[in-house]
Amino acid sequence: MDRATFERELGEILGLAYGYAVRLNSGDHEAAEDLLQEASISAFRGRDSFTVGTNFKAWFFKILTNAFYRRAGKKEVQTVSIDADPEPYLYLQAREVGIAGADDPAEILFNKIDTAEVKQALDNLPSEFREVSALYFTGEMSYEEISDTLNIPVGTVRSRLHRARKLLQVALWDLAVSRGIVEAVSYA
Amino acid sequence: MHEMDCREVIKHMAQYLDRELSTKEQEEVQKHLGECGSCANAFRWENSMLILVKNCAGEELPKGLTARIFDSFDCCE
Repeated sequence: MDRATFERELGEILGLAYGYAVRLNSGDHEAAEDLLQEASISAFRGRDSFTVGTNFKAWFFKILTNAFYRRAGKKEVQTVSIDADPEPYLYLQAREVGIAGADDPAEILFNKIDTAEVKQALDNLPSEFREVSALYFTGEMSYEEISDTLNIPVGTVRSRLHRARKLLQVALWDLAVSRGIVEAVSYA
Repeated sequence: MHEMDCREVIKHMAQYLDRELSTKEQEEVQKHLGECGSCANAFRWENSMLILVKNCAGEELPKGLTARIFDSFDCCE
């Protein structure tokens, strides 16, 4: 792949890649810039290993993820014990306070939560869930692409995403409660 | 024909919202949601949360970063 083509391909996904890098680094923008630069140079050097016509984004995000692992040292292994049963946590909480039937949950609840606080909730996820979530929420990737990028089975992607969503729902609901948003809506 | 009950539909909620189910499963969930207000509410809350997080998760690319990255390739050619 020549340099111009490489830069065009990379330029198209750099915004998504930056978002992913920031989330991987728990919101540290400076570390994300360094990581993105390192991964970009690494990808440029190895661009001949990319098969034209295949998924450039998945190929680059894999390099980016590996660069992150190298910087972080040995990959952190975390065991997080949470209920893995499928459960619509937010809906059940909303039902408890009598707002589950709302036509637009975003209007009454979610739009009142600050963007920075949502980012914080993502950044606070344990690393194994943060990686999958970052690819899902910022990389706009399918389960298959995430599986390919992280070298884990699709079933593991599904289960980690499920757990990540549950943790996010708990965090967002707690946030809404602590900000008085839930109370205001319940008694409205 | 097998019809999904509420427990199965909730189990498939994430994959349904992510369009990761087969066409047949997608249709079965859709059919159930049309008939079950409780599950439809649960899906609406889940989907609303996903949209919120997706809208908030991204970051704006810092000004000049693309140029700095592309310039750094000069040393590798």
